[in-house]
Amino acid sequence: MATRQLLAPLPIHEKRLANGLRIITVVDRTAPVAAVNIWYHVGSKDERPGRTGFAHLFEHLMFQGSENVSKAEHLSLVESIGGNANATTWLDRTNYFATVPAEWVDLILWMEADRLATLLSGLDQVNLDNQRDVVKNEKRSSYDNQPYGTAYLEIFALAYPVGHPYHHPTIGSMEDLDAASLEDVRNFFSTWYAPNNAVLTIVGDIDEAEIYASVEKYFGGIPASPTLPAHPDLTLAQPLGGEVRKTVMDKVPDPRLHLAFRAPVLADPDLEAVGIATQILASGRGSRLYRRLVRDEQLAQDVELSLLPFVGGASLIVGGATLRPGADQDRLERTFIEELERLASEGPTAVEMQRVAALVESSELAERTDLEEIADGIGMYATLLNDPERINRDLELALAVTAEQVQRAAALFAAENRVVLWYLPVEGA
Amino acid sequence: MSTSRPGPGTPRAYHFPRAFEHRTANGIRIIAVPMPQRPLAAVQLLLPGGASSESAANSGSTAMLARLLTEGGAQHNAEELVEATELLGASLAAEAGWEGVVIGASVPATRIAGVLELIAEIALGPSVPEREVERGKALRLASIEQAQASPRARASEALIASIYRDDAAYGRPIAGTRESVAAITRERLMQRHHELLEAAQPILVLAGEFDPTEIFARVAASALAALPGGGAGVARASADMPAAPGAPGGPALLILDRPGSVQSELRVGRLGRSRLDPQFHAALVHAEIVGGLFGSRLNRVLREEKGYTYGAAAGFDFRRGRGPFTMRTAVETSVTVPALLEARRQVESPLHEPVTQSELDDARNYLRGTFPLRFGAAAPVSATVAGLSVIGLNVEELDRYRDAVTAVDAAAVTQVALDLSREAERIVVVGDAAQIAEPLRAEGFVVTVKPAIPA
Repeated sequence: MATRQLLAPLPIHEKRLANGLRIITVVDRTAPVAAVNIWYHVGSKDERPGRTGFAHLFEHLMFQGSENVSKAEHLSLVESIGGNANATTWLDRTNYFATVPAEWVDLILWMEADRLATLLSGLDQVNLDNQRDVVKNEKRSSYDNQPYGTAYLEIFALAYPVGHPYHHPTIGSMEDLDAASLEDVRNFFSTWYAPNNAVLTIVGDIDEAEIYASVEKYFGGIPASPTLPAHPDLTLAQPLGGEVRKTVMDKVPDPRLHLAFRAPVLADPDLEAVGIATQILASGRGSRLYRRLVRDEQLAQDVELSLLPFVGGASLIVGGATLRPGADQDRLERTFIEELERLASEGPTAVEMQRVAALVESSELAERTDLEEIADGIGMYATLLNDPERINRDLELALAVTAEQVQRAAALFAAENRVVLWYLPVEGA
Repeated sequence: MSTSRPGPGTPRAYHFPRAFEHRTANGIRIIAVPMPQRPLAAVQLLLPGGASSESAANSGSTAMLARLLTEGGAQHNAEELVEATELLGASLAAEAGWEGVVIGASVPATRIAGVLELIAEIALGPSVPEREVERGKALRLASIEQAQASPRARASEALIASIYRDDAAYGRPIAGTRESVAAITRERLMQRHHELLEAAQPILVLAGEFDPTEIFARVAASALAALPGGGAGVARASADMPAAPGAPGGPALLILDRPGSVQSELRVGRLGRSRLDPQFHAALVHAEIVGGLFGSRLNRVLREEKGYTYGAAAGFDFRRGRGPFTMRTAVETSVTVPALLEARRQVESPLHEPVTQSELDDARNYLRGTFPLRFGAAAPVSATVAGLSVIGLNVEELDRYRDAVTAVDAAAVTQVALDLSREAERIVVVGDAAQIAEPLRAEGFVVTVKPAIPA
């Protein structure tokens, strides 16, 4: 693919406090707003057996108050200054983010510092019990009470072996959530929440010198953790080694096929071609799978395939298709897989490569107008690859992928690297 | 660590991007919103005449037409159209709203000309292939089944249906019902398309990094210039969307039975307000305080105090006519009764506990402060401008938004709550009837139970 200078590089600047906190800034004055984003390198992979769901439950407790912020005040305070805030937990990390009118950026820095320095002083059994109930309801709403809602939980359990840190779901189990104690919360906080395990990114209408001074003032006195543990070993001893199959009977309206494949890890240069392969196969109505399964042969109502990058062991490609009423289940599975394997045997066409290049460019343009996306991308690359500047090479790397590399990448769709999960309707549902 | 909270720095000025208007020789209205450093532009062609004017029998035909517009035109079949679009790095989609059909694209600003040709092709002469009509109908029918199996979608749809009288379009799903979709024919869709063009009131909105004068010239030189304009408009149905009559006796409550549910999806609703209502900004502030903000009365009590739910929200859906006001939450089955009572109490609370100064300040600051956050990219700018234009509001409406929000006082919020309380209340619960029906009856609700998925 031809490379063009489409995007000016983001002016990324970085500093590190004596306690290890990384601060990364990008000045962008297109709107009078600022995005503040903090990545902690701790996720569900770091949970102990019997305590699954803990990293995420803990994320909720980070909004329950600290020494100078009262219970549940955090989000209301952000709203009261005209901003938004939230947080997410995933296998490799937990991120907290807020976007506010630029004149309020100091308050957000101060709030982040207050909870990092003093969270435990605001913590009590009442808050823990309340957020445990909230999280259990989150699990019911988002997974247990939704048609196909548990498919992701099944997929991870099938793609990674028992005992591997990616095997269990981030949302955790009801039993483990029930078992979480105040002592667990305290230990988790002391173990992982330290300035030397965090990356703080600020993007927007800011003065960098002022930001550095504020960060020094609010975070400078928080001690580094001298005992930050190593993350668990993510090495996968064995390849999947054959097609892994499971069928789940559930209250669903139509049969649904879910597929998963192990893929190279985030740092692996081969991952780029895997991403392009998934786009050729399933991005938009011009993609191979949409054309064949949804339009031409009318076997499916919908089709998807996407890449979930992880740092160790293996990333995951997950896909799915809901059977069209009246269509044949075996034929849907066979045809879906046939298309994946055809990419491995024949490779993409020149037009497909051109189409994907144009789409990749547009999506980069879109991300560059979103301060939150920029801040989160930088936080991710700094935390997981120790390379915040990587965001400036994303487009170039994607456009450099060749048709041959895409074809080679598609080899991972082979049967010995495949998880096949069917959700079938129970009688009378 | 400093214990004192930092205050604000110097506030920066903010203005909604300026819009430039132009009318083509044949009367197409163009609104161009230049946005520097926004290389990904947004284009929306709005053809007035949407689902709000459909009869029950024709429900969903506008949405089906919109879906089929991207199945090709005079020069490109569906696959060629997708390929041509994607080679421009663009995405092209058409969607029916209550007031019109929108053909929208996002595209690098340097390639707007190419996308104008594609939009013109499908707006002027969509091919609407018979085979695709059948496929579109089958997919829509399958998605109706999917929605019935989803407690969330099922509860919302049943609530909306219960708020409006049978002849009001707002009471029906915009994409139609099982019966109305099954009756769609290609002929009917071509008739809908004819009506849209005959109305001859297209509005073209563009936002992104470009020079507006250049854009006007590009449109004039494109195939879009052939679009009929300057017409009298559609014979629109009345914006009045009548509510269903209230039920006598205790509060009526519909349970849609889903045996074995681990949660109850709760919905409470009433007829809401129009976007054209002079009290629009007061209603926005009211909704934030009652059920919009994280710190809203509903979420504070149901989530943060009681732990009944992952989240509870309420608000208005503003349209040209009076859209619905809805309260939405999902709670563990065993707390269905106390959670429903608490949710209704919080929705009505401004009548008994007037909003405080700090609630008012928080809601107004939130709406004012997040306004610029919503308009960082070109797409939301063009979509918002198009949405206002089709109901007769000008872009100046967005300029005055922040001042109008600031002017809302406690009395105005109370008035919104009072107006709302005068509309009939509707309650829908999707959950396990065997566990919740009797306790709800014991609480005085007039309970009807139906299966969530009709036989």
